[in-house]
Amino acid sequence: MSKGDLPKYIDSLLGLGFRVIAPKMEGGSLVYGYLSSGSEFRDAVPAFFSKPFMGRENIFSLKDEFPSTIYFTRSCEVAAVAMLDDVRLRGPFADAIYLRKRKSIKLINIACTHSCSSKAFCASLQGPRLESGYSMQLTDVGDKYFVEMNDDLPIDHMVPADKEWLSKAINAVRGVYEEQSRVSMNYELKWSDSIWSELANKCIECGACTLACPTCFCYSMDYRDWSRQEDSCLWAGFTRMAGGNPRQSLDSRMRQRFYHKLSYHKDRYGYALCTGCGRCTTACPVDIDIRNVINHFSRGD
Amino acid sequence: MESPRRLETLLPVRSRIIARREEAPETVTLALDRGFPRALPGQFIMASTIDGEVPISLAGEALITFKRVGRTTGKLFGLSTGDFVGTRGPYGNSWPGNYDDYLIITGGIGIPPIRFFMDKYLGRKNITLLYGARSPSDIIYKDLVLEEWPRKANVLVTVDRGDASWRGNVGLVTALLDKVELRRGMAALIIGPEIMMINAVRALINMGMEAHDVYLSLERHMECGVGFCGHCNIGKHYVCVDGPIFRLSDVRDELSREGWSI
Repeated sequence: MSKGDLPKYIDSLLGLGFRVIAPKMEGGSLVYGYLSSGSEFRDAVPAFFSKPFMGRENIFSLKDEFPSTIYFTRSCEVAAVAMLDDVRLRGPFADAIYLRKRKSIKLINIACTHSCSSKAFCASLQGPRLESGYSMQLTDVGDKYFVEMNDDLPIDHMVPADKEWLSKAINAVRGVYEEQSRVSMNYELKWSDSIWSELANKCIECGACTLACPTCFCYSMDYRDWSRQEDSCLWAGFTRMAGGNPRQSLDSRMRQRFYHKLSYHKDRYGYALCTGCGRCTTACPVDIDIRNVINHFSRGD
Repeated sequence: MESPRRLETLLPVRSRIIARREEAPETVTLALDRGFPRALPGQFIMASTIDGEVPISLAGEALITFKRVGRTTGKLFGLSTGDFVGTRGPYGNSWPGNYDDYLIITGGIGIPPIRFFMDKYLGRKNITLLYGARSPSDIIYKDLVLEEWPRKANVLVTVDRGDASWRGNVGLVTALLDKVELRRGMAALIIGPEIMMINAVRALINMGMEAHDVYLSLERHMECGVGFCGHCNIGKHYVCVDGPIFRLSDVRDELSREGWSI
């Protein structure tokens, strides 16, 4: 597909009745927002990803219709949604609200050709191009997008591509690998290590890292209207009970954040709960960098 | 470990309170008209008022006993016969039923899921129950603990402080272990205040009990009860879906890291 045709393609999706969430400018900021026209699309990466359950979600909304929505997102986010699917749909229980919302969503991966940020390390994880998890994948190969289709989305403005385009697409994302420093995911966390209290001494418990993270899924209920919204394991109230709090110290909560992502989730699902997007590091006002934590515990390879 | 999934809406249903009994100071049993006929001893439900929801262990298929400790249990405590409670469940795993011989150690408000266990197994299993309460008036299910269960099980009760009429044991529940003989193939079920559980675990291990025969019912803050909200983990385990009952051998390291000196 010619790059100039993407706005027209988005217009045709809008014309078919899809809602489209994509990077756009809103009030001077680059955000993921609903497009009213394909011309609003920006080929850039916003600081926050709208998780499928982002924001307040009333649990009685089960009766609501969720309109079919197409997300133009990046590999870090498509990979994150697959992780959220594991937690919300593939445990002993399946989350009925999440399932209904998720069924209404199609993900289009725009493969990044350059690293979006100096904090990102997706090249050490899933990389900018994906094998699966998307309805459609677009790779910028100069004046065209190489399109991979995994769904029954319309094929307006597209022409068949032969095999050589695949290698062009693989080549097109090399910049990401060249620009990012590698983080070895071969690590072993240690409980008794001074890094936890060092991080806790810096941390101001703002929760920006967990809110910015596309994979953080913990939520709490607000019983004023029975809605749920993101919670942060770095906040003391996260585990507080009437009878006491097992994670009273910030050291223990700092461990929880990283152990959950890098150890506990891996034990349960076989992979770390991280897509290398770097948003937690960018969002952190005191420069806590998840790459430093992983590297600190590297087995060295 | 692919197991059948249940679609969970998180929506409570309304259950009417058909009986209410104050068991001890601040502690009440509510009998509900809509029970959980398939529930097993050790499982819990999420019980709610209009503005709060808490995990509470089942004391029977349609029975909950709880102590007023926080905002929501306070509101639930204040309800009367005929009032409604929100409920959903049952959730979590259950006490093991595959042993012939049980040593149960419980204290305080830990006893409700033991009542459910006794309903199912009293007279069918060889059971020794050690129960500790603060004072004679704090003993929950007095008629069961002091009269009915002792007919078919070895029941030893102790209190921290006696009163004028108390003729029984005084002291910690773990001190009762001196009066118990551990047998091969015996399971220990432990539920109660954290410090009691720690002491019980240490005593049992010292007495030669194997960690895989010791079962603990654990408690953590929960927002969902079904593995979505991420709140109740102890290390890699979620208390809601992997527990609330754990073999000591499976959680020993994790509990040590949380400060249990076991």
